[in-house]
Amino acid sequence: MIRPENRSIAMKSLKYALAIGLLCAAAAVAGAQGMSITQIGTEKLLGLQTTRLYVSAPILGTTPGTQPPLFEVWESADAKDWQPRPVTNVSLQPNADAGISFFLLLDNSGSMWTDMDGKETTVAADMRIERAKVAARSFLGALSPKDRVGLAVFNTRFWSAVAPGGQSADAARSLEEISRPAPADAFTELYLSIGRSLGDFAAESGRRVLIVLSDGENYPYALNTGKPNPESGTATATPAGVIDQAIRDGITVYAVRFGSQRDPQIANIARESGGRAFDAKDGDELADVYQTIRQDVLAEISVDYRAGMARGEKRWVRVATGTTDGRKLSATRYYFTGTVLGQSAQRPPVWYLAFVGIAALAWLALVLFKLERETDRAGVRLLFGPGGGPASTRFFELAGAQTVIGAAPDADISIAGNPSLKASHATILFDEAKNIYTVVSDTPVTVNNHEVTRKRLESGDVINMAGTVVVFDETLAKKTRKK
Amino acid sequence: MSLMLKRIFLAVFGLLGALALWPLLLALQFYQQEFPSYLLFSLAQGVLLGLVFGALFGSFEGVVVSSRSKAFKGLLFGAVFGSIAGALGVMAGQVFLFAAGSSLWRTASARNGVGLAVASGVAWTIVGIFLALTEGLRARSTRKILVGLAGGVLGGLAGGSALAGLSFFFPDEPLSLLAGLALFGLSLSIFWSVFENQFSSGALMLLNGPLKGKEYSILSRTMKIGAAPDCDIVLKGYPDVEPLHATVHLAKGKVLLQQEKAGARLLVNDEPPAGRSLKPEDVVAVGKAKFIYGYFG
Repeated sequence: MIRPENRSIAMKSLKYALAIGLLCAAAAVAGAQGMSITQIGTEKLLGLQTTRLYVSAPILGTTPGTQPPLFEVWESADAKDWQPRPVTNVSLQPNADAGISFFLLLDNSGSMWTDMDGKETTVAADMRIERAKVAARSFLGALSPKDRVGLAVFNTRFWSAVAPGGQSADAARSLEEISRPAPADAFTELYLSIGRSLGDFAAESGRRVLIVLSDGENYPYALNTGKPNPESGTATATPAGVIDQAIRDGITVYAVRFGSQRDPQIANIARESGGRAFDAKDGDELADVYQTIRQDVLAEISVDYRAGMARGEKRWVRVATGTTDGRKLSATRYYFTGTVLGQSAQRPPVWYLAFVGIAALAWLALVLFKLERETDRAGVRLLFGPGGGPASTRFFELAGAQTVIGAAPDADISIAGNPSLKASHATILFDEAKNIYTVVSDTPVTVNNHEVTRKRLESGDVINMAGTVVVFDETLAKKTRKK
Repeated sequence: MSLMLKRIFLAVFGLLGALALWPLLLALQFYQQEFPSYLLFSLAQGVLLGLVFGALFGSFEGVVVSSRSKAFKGLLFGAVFGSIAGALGVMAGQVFLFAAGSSLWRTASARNGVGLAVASGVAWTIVGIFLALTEGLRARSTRKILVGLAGGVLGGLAGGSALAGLSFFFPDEPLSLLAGLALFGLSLSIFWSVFENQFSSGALMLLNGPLKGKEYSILSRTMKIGAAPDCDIVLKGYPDVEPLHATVHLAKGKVLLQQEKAGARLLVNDEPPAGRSLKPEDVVAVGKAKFIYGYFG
């Protein structure tokens, strides 16, 4: 639903669209210029058709004349053919009001217990882990009461110290519980731990920021020892998989490379997920990095727009704006949407419509075609065997003037399977002159549930001969003609 | 038509529905981006599915009793009713996704994946229930509505899960949609037939004439027998049958026959019915048409 004030923004955006169309097109060609999309929120996509972009553009608002006049949004299924989408709402600093959910993922591998040069030390304050703790404590202390915090610590193992959405005081307390790992636990399961954190973090609402601090490269236990990891077994994670997971669940990863040794992929993971990578050489720099991340996220702008219906689950979005002093900014990212009843990316061949025709013709045939046929012969049809056994559609034509029905193989109508049926049980006589059929029997049979030894038959009469039930059938049409 | 043949026919109807829907839904999905929102896109798919299956199931009774006018009227009724059912089902699925979705599937990937699949499953289940109710509402019969409810809940659940599940696990495979639709149509028809037999108070099987072998399940409180096309049992082509000849009444599980026109030939075991309820193997004469009453199949 578009609220009136949002609608007016949308209307304005339409008015300005032409005016700055060229500007935006130019910006699109130029690509991202000082602006990035940090998170894409799809919470309201399926219900309200609204997608939220969190946009980071540090230049905006910092100097006079850089207020954004407008945001323009385009969507595309293939990053080639772009369709403009109406912007419904723009909020400055939305994260200050709603709070930010931070998740700190802290490396506690063996090297974290050395000094910044990687040398063993007995002075606790010189150890990387102590410096990291001090910086984290100062970061936690500076958070707003609206912010939420989670903390996890990893090496060979993964310790979920404070679940996402928790209090900063709990996280600060948990920092004190971090202890030096045994050699077997001192590996760096970096990608696996990022993946695990993303999974734990995905259910948080609003702005989700994962800050990964690591002082080394991904160094998995299973790969380097040949034995399964005591916690995660032989599970592995790749940077590409981690990136996909972060984008699908709309989580921004910020990477902090602490010390001189750096993972080659972690900066890419951060960038692709909408975040940034930082390097910190000591505790003070680390504290600054944490504050920078928080300030960047706080300064973000949210842009809500009415999402399009491009096919497929992967969708590209581009946002562009210009500053009032003529600078152009744009950013492009992709996100994932759901599909209803599968998806048909290719145009179905026209001849598929033949299936509709076939179904319609088959239906018409069933309506017009009558399976039932009026009989033109007189005879009996077996209805039940003794004891109400299975019905049969067998039809026995009458022999002529006299038809003997019985169990004997040489009877005119021989019916097997009923031991009570006599060899010649009943006879149907036909008087051709009067067109009359009569059943006669020595032992009584029932016709329409009445015991008889002789009875004139009409079409549809039910004759029960010691449990063998037959229907006498002759054409009704002939009868009418003779009338 | 014997019970077995009737069941096969109904299953064939379900499959025909799937066959007709498949290319239509594929085309609709191809034009997804022409729709302004997911809601309207889902609604269009729901209406299309309801329309095709509703039309087919609505016309089924007419085909079974070989009455073309009943088949065409049922087709129209079913199409209209099915379209409404499809729209309602999709709306219900959407409401479900809205109300329960964010608490059941808290992550974006789960909402866009399993959450959406379950919501479509809910939608198709509800469409299935409504579709199974078509015949009951068309015939205005409480028992047929019960049959529809029972058959629709189970058939819709099985078929809806199959349809949503196959689309979820094989989203890029057009054949998975066909298979899902076929299973949807089949499970609806199978469960409907099963419950039709369960809920019926026996059936009248025609013994002679052009329609011989047809079984008429006794499910409604009142069924009209006669030569007129608006009767429940239409005896077209039978001598001595009045336009409205007799009625079958169902009261407390007892089946009673009543003459609707003075002098019209109505006999049970060659005698006037005289207010006696029918028991299995009774032979009923309506004009020159003869039925046997009982539980078949």
